Amino acid sequence: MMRAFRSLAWVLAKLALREPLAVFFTLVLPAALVALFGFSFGNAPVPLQEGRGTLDHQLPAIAAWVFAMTGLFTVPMALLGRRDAGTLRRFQVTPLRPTTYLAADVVVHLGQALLGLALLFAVGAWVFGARGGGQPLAIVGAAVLDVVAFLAFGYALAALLPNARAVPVVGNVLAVPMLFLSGATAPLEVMPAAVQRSAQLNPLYHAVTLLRGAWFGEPWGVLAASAAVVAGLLVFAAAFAAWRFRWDP
Amino acid sequence: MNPVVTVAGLRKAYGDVTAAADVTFDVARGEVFGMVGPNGAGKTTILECVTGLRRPDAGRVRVLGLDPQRDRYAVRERIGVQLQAAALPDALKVGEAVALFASFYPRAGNPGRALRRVGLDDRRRARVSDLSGGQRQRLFIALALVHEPEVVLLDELTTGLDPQARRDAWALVREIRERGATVILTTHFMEEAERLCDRVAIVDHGRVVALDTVGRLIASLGEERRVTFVHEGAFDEGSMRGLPGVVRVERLGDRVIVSVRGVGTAGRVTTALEESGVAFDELRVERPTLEDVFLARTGSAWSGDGAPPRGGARPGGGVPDGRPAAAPRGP
Repeated sequence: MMRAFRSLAWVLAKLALREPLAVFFTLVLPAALVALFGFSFGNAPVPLQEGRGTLDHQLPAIAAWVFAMTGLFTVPMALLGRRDAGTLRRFQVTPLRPTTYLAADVVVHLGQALLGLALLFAVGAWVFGARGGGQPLAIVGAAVLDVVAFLAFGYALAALLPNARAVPVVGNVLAVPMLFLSGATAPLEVMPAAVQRSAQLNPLYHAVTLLRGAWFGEPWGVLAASAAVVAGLLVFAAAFAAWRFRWDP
Repeated sequence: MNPVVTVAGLRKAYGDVTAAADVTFDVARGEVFGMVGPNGAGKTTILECVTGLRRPDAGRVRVLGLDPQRDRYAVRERIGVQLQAAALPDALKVGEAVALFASFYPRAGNPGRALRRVGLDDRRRARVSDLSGGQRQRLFIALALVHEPEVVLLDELTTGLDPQARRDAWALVREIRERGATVILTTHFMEEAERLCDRVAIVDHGRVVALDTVGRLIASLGEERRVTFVHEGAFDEGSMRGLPGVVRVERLGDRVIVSVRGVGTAGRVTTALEESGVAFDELRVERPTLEDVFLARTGSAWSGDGAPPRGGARPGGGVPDGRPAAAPRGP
């Protein structure tokens, strides 16, 4: 079983890297956005953002691109693409356990998303000197919780959608408001109060808030609400995916 | 001798459509067993019940003495399957695919040897998307053989292949059999069944309408012959039906097929045709084939569902639940 897991994870990782669009959106684009922000605004302190540097503040928001691309596009595209093509059916007539397949798939998507986040923070910190001051372990913990919750969101989406062709349609419809209302496109602080309030309904906003809190080393008590929303998304989406996902088209 | 595969009273329906109705057969160790029938006859459904992919509504299926539903993983370790509607990711490489599938089995075979067996060892680094139809099908055979299975199930192996690739696939099936594995295959090419199978089950509308060796199935028609010709202009079938020894008269477009029995009957038909003054061409007298057995047992022409009568390269039509058989190849 371990042998099947290792070789499947290795093959899925290689396949992921041969998917140019997914590589661009999860690995290249977020780091490029950091560079864009850095060159455009520098990292000067901004009063509106509690006196923190623009980039210091915006790095966790740009991370929303990684969460959204992973959950809305990469995960459901890969899974439904393989389901539509009959690859999953072919796996089903081997001794490969469905749980082994899922474990390998989760590990590869998790790795890809964490790599995207690492690149994004590396460019921010090393090229533009962005600093948060939080505990590295807390930052990694928040990032992993966020990514895993959006992975679950991706599997739930795959369970809901009829085929891979529906993924770009639904993904784009969801991605635009979710990214806008998370501060990933422009800081929420410059938006009207009504927009800021509606952001509370956006799980991606809470994922950003959680990561930003860990990045700035805020106490966990302040972050408990956002952490609860993200954890709730994880539990609900995972349960829905486990309940509804079909291996056959 | 204990059969390797037993199917008894198998029944499977999708809503109102009955895909398998009371299907019963045994497959002995080492034989090549074929299920033939037109697209949508239920062959794939029966095969999927044997692999455990589908749960029968009723009936008993045993593979190597095991229940493919209850003992699914034990069965899957010992069978090798080529599915009709199953594609691999385009970006996957041939060598990676075979190594991956080998890793799924506790008794992992040798990926390199599996590729050599199907003649793909020089394409190890090629992506699946770069393979020709025949090479892709050979890769699927390699994946089905990588763990040296005892039972090999092949669903519409040669559908969509050109004649040379089809012959290559036939040679592979014979080689699998020579190594002692049992083979169950489905096809809608009667010629393929005649050439490959020790025994053939003719399947129509979810039922096994005939089951025997090819030779005995054909012999069961008696000493029947077919006189076929293409006519131009008007032609009265009734004049043929009235002749002594004529069993059936069918039409396929402007082709007429007269089934005859008895010494001299074929000659009487051709004489009657010439005397009738009908313009005709391509007159042939043929020995009966499995197609004629199908015709005799079902009362409907082989091409009744639009499939070419023989040798056509139309992609398989799929099972009656409307699932497309031509698999889209995804990422």
